[in-house]
Order: sequence, then C-alpha cells, then structure tokens
Amino acid sequence: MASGNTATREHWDTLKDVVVLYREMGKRFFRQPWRWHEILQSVVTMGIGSLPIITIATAFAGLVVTAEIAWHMDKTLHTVSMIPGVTGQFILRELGIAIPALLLVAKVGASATAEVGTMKVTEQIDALKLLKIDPIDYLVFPRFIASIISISCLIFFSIAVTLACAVLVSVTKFNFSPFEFILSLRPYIYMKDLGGALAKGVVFGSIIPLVSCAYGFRCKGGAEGVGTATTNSVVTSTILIILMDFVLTWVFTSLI
Amino acid sequence: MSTAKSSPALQGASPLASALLTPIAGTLHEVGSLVLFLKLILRTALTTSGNTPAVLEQILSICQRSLATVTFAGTFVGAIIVLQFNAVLLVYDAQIFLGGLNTSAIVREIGPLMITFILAGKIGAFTAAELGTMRVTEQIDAVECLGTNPVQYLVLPRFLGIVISSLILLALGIMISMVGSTFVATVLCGMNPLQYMSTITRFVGGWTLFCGAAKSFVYGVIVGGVACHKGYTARGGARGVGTAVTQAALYMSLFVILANYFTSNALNWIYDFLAAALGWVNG
Repeated sequence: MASGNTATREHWDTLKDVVVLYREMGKRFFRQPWRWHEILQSVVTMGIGSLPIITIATAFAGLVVTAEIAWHMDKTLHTVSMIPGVTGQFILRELGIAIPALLLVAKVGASATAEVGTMKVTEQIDALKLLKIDPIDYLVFPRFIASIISISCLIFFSIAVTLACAVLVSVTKFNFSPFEFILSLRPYIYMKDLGGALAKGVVFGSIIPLVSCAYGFRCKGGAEGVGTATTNSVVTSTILIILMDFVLTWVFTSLI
Repeated sequence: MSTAKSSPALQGASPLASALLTPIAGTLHEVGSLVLFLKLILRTALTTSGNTPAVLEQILSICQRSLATVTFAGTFVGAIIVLQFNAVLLVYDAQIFLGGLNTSAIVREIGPLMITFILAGKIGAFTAAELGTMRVTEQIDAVECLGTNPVQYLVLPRFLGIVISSLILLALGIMISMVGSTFVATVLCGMNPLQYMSTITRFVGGWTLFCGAAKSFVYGVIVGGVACHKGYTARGGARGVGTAVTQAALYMSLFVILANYFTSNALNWIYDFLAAALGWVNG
C-alpha cells in the first residue's frame, strides 16, 4: 500500500478524472447515435441482475427498522398509532434509498471496475483506440445511462418492498390492518418525497459508473492492480454517495 | 452457486422449481461453509498459543487504514439522520427529543451497519484478495509444507483483527457521529447544543450500548469469516481471485443484513425477558 502522500494524490487525480468524465457524458448526451444495444445489455446486467439481492436485503431492512421505530415510539410517546406515518416517511426519504445505493455500489461498482480494469491491464482499451472506437463512448456512456435508469427504478422498487415489509410487521405485531396502515400513511407523504427519491436515484446512479470507470481506466499492475482498483473504487463511491446524500437531504428538507 | 446446481437433491427438478430453489440452496450452502470455517478458526484459536503479537499487528493495520473513512462516514451519516428526524419531529413539536433519538438510532442500528459496510468494502475485500492470491500461488501449501499451521499463521490474526477492530471502530464512529450531529443540529436545525444533548442519556443507556456492541461483534465475525473463507478456498488463477473477491463482497453484505434482522429480534426478546423477569428497566 502506497504511503499517505502518493495514495491521496492518486485518489485526488481520479476524482478530477470523474469530473472530466461528467463533462464528456454531457457532451455525448446530445450527440444522437446512442449505442442502444450496449445500454440495454447493461440495464439487464445491472438492474435485473441485482433484483434478488435488493429484494431480500431491503425486505429484511424494512422488518428491522419498523420494529426499532415502533420500540422507540412506545418508549417515548407510549402510542403506536403513528408508526405508519413515521416509518413511511423514514423509508421514503432515507432508508429505501441509502441501503440499495450502498448494496449497488458493492455489486455494480465492483464489477464495472473489475471489467474495465481487466480490459485496461490486458491492453484491450489500446486495441479499441487503434480501431478508432472511443473507449468512453463504448464503455462508459452505455453504463452511465443504464445505471441512471436501473438505479432509479431499483430505488422505487426497494421503497415498495420496504413499505410492504413495514405493513407486514405492523399487521402481525401491532394489530394494524393493511388498509388502516395505508390510510394513516397518506397524510404524511408528499410528492416532494418522491421527487427527492428520484433526484437521489439519478445522482447516485450517475456517481457509481463514473467513479468505477475512472478507477478502472487508471488501473495498472496486473491482477493485483485490478483488485486494488476495485477496492478503492468501492470505498470512494461509498464516500461520495454518503456526501451527496447529505447534500440532497439538506436541499430537500431545508431549502425546498 | 455452481455446486448447488449440480447437487443431487435438485437433479430432475422441473425448471421452475430449479429456478426458485437454486439460489436458496446456494445461499444455504454458503452459510454452512461459513459455519464450518468458523468452527475451524475457533478450534485453532483455542488450541494454539502465541498469537497475540500477530493479532495486535493486524488490529493496528486495519484501524490505521479505516480511520479516515470511518471519520468521514460517521460525521455525515450522523448529519443525515439529524436532518431527517428533525423534519419529522418539528411537525409534532418534539424537537427536544432529536438528540436522544438520533444517538439511539446511530448506536443501535446505523452505527454497526455503517462500520460493517466500510470494513467489508475496504478490509474484507482486501483480505479476500490477499488470501486468495496466496492460495492461488500455492503459498498456503508452502507454509503447510514448512510445518506451520496455515490457519494459525495466516487466517487467525486477520479474523481476530477484523472482529476486534470492528468494536474499536464502532466506538470511534459513534463518538465522531455525535460530534457531527451536534454540529449540524446547532447550525442547520436551530437548536442549542446543550438542548440537543439533554435527552441523550434518557434514550441511550448501558443496554443500548450493549446492543450496538453485540451487533458490531456479530457483524465483525461475519465479515471476517466470509472474507477469510472466500480467500482461503479460492482456486482457478487470477480469475478465481476476482471471483472470490466479488462473491465475498456480495455475501458479506447479504449476511450482515440478514443477521441485522435476527440480532435485533434476539436482543429485543432478551430485553423483554429481562424486564419481565427482573423488573429491570434501562435504556
């Protein structure tokens, strides 16, 4: 592992690469021939391939969080009538978004970095350049679009699954009926929350592929370099997602 | 997962049953392998001696590498939860409870989960890659040829290092998160810092801290166990190392979230039992 100064400089240089990649994505967004075949292939791999793990993980997270919030409500307010409202708000605003985002960093980000890193180390990216195929156009842009689409959809899906499990816990443990739960949930949820979920989905979906590909393009040193690049990209993606989550939460609770 | 497909129990099953049961069978296979490996590590820990210097060295290395990430994540996750709870509590005019609820949520739930995800991403993947490379280049066989127990020499220090570091990093993360939360509550939510901290002791007592520590310990065992097991049993060259790391990351996250459910229920059940049996009411 490199000493402090070199490692930090490499991370900083890679973050500057990410900003450059954002600009390149903006340029290609308006250039018409999109590679739909690659985009749809990535959507299937990222979106549908992650469905099982997202379902299971968010279901269990929903069960736990509802039980914990109910325990706290019972302790402070000595009432369980507000469980639907508080739980629904928390799931829609934070939990249903943060947990799938962190799981998808591990799944989508790690595999994207490993793939691009292996291509870089085995000189396939140089071969693409020789064939006059822009590697950013061929590798990064399809993953960018696919990631935004699939992560936004997966976030809404996971919000639904988490809410379903919250209903399950309330019905079995706290004597709610499902209809009663949904009725008492309605006054507490606004369109602003759904808009916030969509905004967070788009932002997180744009961060993951660009950071992964930036670390992959900078990969060097054979198989061990690919492993190091994968680890670093997962850590940097997680940190950036937590940071942007804070910024967007602040924007949507205080500024809008 | 490929072993589950060819397992004798699923031979001749209809395609639908096979499609539904193969992931479940694969996951159960993984859980079983993990438990057997943990049994091996436990037996090695109890029957060998002289491990302490290596374990301490690993703890130092792991904490040194994770320090910056834990500091950053702790501050910002605390800040996010403060903002979210503030929006809800303002509606009920109960903003005074913000400190207690936020700290309780961080100590019981979000602290252990966040520390575990950071540990899994940074240290778990690295350990799986390291042990996997050693296995694939036959270094573990060489260690065994020279008469050393490879589990004692390689796996045990890393496993115990991860478990003990997760407790140390949890303590550090909670303290840093409290500082960050107080700062955000003061600057962005218009509370007085003393007002914010006044309800903390009401919500967070010895039992809450024990819950957080117990969960962190269990998650540390899972992260260390999965990472070391996947690395130790890797095969197939450099590609096998890549597969081992990817599978380790996947199963670490999945098992930690499953364990979250079971440990939360178990701890709540123990609390209810102790409260009923001993009349013991504590935070």
